[in-house]
Amino acid sequence: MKRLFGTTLAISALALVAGITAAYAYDEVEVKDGGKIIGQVKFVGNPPKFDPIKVNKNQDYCGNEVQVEALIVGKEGGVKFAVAYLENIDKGKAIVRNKPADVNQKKCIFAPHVFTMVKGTDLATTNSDPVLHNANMEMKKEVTDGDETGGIQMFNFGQPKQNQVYIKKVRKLGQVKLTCDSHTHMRSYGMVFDHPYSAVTDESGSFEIDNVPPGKYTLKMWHENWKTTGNDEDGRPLYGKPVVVAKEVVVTANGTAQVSFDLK
Amino acid sequence: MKRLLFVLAAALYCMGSAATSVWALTPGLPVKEIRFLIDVSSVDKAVAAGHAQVINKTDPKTKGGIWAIGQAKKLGVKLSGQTVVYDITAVESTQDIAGVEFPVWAFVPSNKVKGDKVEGYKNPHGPVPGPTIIANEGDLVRITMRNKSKNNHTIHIHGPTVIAYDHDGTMNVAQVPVKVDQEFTYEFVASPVGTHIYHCHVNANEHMDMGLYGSIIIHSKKNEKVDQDLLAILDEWDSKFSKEEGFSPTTADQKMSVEVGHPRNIARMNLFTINGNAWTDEYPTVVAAQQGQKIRVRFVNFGSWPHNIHLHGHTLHWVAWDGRNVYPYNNKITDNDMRSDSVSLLPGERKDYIFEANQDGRWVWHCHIVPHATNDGVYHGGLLMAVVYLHPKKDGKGPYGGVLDGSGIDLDAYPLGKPVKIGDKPSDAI
Repeated sequence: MKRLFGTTLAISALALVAGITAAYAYDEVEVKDGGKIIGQVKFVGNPPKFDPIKVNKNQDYCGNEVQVEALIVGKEGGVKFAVAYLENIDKGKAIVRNKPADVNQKKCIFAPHVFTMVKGTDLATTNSDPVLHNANMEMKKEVTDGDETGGIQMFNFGQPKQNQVYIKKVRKLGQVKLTCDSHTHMRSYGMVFDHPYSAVTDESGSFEIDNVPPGKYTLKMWHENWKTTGNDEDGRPLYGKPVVVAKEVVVTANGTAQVSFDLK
Repeated sequence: MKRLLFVLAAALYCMGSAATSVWALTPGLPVKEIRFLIDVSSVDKAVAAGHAQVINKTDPKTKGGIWAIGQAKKLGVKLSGQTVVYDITAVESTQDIAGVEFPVWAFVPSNKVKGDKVEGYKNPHGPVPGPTIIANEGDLVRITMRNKSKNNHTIHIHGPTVIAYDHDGTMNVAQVPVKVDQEFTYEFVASPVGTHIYHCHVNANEHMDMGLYGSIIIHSKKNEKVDQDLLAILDEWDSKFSKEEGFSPTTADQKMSVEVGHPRNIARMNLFTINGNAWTDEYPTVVAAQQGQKIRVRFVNFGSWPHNIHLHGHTLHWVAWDGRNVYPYNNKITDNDMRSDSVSLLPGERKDYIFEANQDGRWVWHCHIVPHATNDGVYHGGLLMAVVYLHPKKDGKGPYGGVLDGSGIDLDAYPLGKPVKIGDKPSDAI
């Protein structure tokens, strides 16, 4: 069957062995005795200090600078905004389709900075600010493509009115990047899967993926990277290619598997 | 970011065998795989694909076949002395249209069925349309249809006229529908020459919409010699009937007949395909041309909407309509032919065009009901192809060079025209 990300995205992510009865890339089934994967993404050593990013427009509302979100390390080394996801799963729990993934443009940053969603569901982008924003989303060819590699534009729409919401189905698999062309410091990253087994780490670096059918899986951790490689034409820092680490995990019936990842 | 439409130079491989991936190619961003039109130039193509078997005698297996042979003699259709055999299985499967996964019902070559699986398809594509039936005029054509899906099906032979009424495939007019694990053998004599179609005729509104169709091509030695003979089948899709919108046609509570193929629902089509592929920058549909070539493209409209497919920069000679030559065309294109730069096509129609590749560069060929050249309203997509010119290699070997030397992509082969500030000289000023 298919598989999601990696260097063979082009072929394997979309390849599908059709059955005489319909077989999708991911089949939603009732999960019996599902297990749980919990874990933490930790930064090893002393995290680097970052200069704030300069704001180039609407400073009266947005402020003159914003904090770097590329690497947010909590009290005990937990890293916020990393993504944990299963790579080899072709059937499992139902996809929640009636609730969109939300990204809010609030006080001139995208919130959340990192999100995950399932292909074929909606992304709702809101402008909560009284200033013009736009949401320009592109899909990278590989999940390891960084800021300096282009992608395919998924949409680009302006949101001049406060509280304006734009809802759009996302129908491609992979890593997406949201930017606001009005405020070039703004960034949000998304990971789009064909299954619901993914999570973004919280302030403590923790994640939880539940209702996993018992079995052996590859669990991957994705992080956008924080090592600067230069600055773009607006002075915003550019970072290296995203970091992807894979680990094997065994999920037992009604069990809890623990997996941790280190960043350094 | 460079959009593929303008990067297409990328792609170019092969000619002469436009529908087959003989040469490996690693296209760059954003192209993942080029989709060529279906090569229908000869029965050999169907044999090579493993879809057809040729028997060197007229070898009927049914009373209908014997009737058709008698009818051919009566009508003056000369038998070729050959029988072309196709073995097709009706299955349930899935198809990815521009990232939207649909459940489909499809006819597939039986040699792709392995146990309870269908193999050999990759998305985005899937098994729709079904295999192309290719024959020569006067061949006895035998199609055995095995039903391995949960619904009843038939095959209606649409276009060929030397056929017995009970091999016509209409439900309860010509035949009893074929149930699961049953089969039916259709035989007819290949005539008239041209582009025809086949499709399921059980609840045809629903079953055709689900994907049970394909084309029949009948060749003649009198046909004008062309360098490429290609097939483009148009269709529309409604994402309401996709997996992501919760459609599951095989569950007991799904009332198919008031959903798929209902008149109110065909007004909602939002995805559009050529040979089952909606244009995306990753999976573009391409006609790879060489200067001086004569290229025949046979259009079939299997959807419920009209289309008008406009080719930039070239003149199209309309040579056949529903498998019959269009006056005054008589197997050689001339300036007296019906000519146009667009292909207007109603549902069920087949129109064949020949154009001379007397240009250079990259050109688009798209539906001029322009919302059909989108994927769910996002331009560009859907009913869109690119005609891209290849040049011989500088060393004279192979068809790649100029654009692609076999090792990679030459993005500068056809540079884009560039605008300049108002009042400045043109960017390509002499």
